[in-house]
This record gives sequence, structure tokens and C-alpha cells, in this order.
Amino acid sequence: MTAAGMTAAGMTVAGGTAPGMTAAGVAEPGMTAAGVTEPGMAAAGTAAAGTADALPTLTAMSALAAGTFLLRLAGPALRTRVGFPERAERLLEVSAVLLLAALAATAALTEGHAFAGPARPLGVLVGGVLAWRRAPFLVVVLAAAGTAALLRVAGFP
Amino acid sequence: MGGTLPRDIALVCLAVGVIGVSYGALAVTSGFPWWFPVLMGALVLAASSEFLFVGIIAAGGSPIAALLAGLLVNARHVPFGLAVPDVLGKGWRGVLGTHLMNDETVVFALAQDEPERKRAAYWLCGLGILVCWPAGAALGALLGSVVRDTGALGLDAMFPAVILALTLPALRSRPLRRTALTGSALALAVTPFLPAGLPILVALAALPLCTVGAGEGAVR
Repeated sequence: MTAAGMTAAGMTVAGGTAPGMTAAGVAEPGMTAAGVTEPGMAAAGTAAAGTADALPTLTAMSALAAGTFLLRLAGPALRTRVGFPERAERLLEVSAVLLLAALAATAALTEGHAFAGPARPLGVLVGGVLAWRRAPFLVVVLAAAGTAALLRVAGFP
Repeated sequence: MGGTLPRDIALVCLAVGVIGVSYGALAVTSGFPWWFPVLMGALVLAASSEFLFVGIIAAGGSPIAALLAGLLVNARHVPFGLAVPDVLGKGWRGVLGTHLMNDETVVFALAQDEPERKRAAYWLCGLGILVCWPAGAALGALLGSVVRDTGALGLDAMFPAVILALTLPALRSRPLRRTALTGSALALAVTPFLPAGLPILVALAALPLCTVGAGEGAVR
């Protein structure tokens, strides 16, 4: 859908340029217009978010749902075909733990491509220590959020 | 299914609902209509990918980029599925069982000893999340105009704390802990350079550190 939308936009630009095609110099502004498509796309994205029944966003969301289901299906489907030895099973359990630990670490410490600031990781650390000492789950989660919130009140980002 | 398991699962579902509130609020304040995070929550049912999707669109990224990033984050479901195929069920039940696969359900299933307990924990947690996640998102969407700064409440610290608390039992095994720490360090080291989602997969490079069998019965 997005591809179709982009093509349509490209067609408009091309159509606009076509009458001026007689002068070779007009190709330059035409190129610039093509270059401008980037921010234009960003604007379209924001507009899509604004209405969000905007077809590209809805289509991408559906594709994410379908793709995620296929990823979930892939594991069991692979295993019934192949028949896994116990060692490989164990390896896969380890890799799941590895992924979850990395997810927790990156979600705790980073925001986008940068450090998230001290409040969130310290909150998660407090939650982690409580969990290690076998505190109830809700205590762990609320302590993590509460610590981060208090640190932010104190002025830490 | 006795002991503290049902209570633990209820608390996890509650926590997921609370995270859902922050997710719904984020989506609505980013300009999505209220039903979008609710529908996406029910259909995708994978929190971090949905946060990422909404975040990328809100930042002006293309839907294609949001889709690819979401799929990348959800690639971890492939090894998840290899780890818990017995609990999923068959036929239409299996379709729903497959849809319920996520971080929390897999960890709960792996933490049980017997197959019957594994299955019960997986389904109870999965169905609870299927209800709580979209419901939390709906509540968050309604509150979206009220709670503007979810960071002020520390809500962003909840998601990593949930995942960490759920993974800790497995991390009590020394070889597994060493492997997980190395993998996490690798993921953090490449985070500034790689697209979102990839660093988590890079952590798998630490896999050879944990010789299979060395951590006998470690995932508990």
C-alpha cells in the first residue's frame, strides 16, 4: 500500500515535470523534487499517525501481526519436521534466556541508540535486587517504577 | 496447579496491563486513534515490537520501517517456539496457543517441572495477557490525555524489570549467568550502531560460552 502511495506521488512529480521536459535544465528542479520526497514521506507518516486508519499504517500493522504469527509458528513447525536432540533443545532454552536477558539489559539502559539516563536503570536495578531476594513480583515491578519516578523528582533524567 | 503459581501469573498479567496503560497512552498522545493500540495489542500481542512500531511512526518513520523493526524484534519467537512446542496444542487450539507465545508465557512454561504444569502455566498466563494487554491499552488510550508524561511515574522502568524478574530464576545457574551477562554486554555495545532490535539478536553470539550440559537443569 505504501509502495502504491509512493508510486502515485512519484507519478505526480513526473507528471509535473513532463511538460517542462523540453528544457534539460528543468530536470534539476525535478531531481530536487524527488529529493524532497524523503521529508514528504515523513510528513505522510505523521499524517498516517494522525488518522491511523490511513491505509499504509493499518496495512503495516496487519503485516506485523501476520509476520509475528509466522515467526511463532516457525519454531514448532521446524521441530516436528526435524526432531530435535536433547542437547539442541537445551541450547535453544539457553538462547531464549540469552535473548530475554539482552532485552532486559537494552530496555533498561538504552533509549533509541543512546544511554537512557540513570533513573530507569537504577529503578530496574532495585527491582532486580528485590527479585533476587525473592520478593513478590508486584513489589519488584512497583519498586522499579517508584525508584525511577523518585529519581526523576530528584532531578535525574 | 497449586502453590504460588496462579498468584504469580495474576501479578504478571496485572503488570502487563499496567505496561499496556503506558502503551495505550503513548499511542494516543502520538496521534493514533484509541482503537489502534487495542487492535494491535490483540493481533500482534508482543509488547516491545508494538512500542517500537508506534514509536517509529510517531517519529515520522515510514510504516515499512516500523514493520521491519517490529518483525526483527519478534524474531526471538523462533527459538521460543523451539523451546516450548509441547504446550501449544493442536488444530485450532494450536493456532491460539501459537498466538499466545511471548516472553512471559515462555518463561513461565520453562520454569515448571512437569509437562502438565508447563501447559497450565503457559495457557493461564497467555490468556491473561490476551485480555490484560489490550484492556490496559484501552485504559491507557482513555487516560492518554491525562497522564502526559509516563516517565514521571517511572512506567518505562517496569518493562525491563518484568523481563529481568522473570529471567532471574534461570540466571541463578553460574554458567548461564556468565553467558547472559556476556550476551547483554555485547548487545549494549552494539546498540549505538545497529538498528533497533538487532542488538538483542547479537547477544546470541555469546551462546558458545555456555557449553550445553554444563548448566544441567539450569532453566528453572
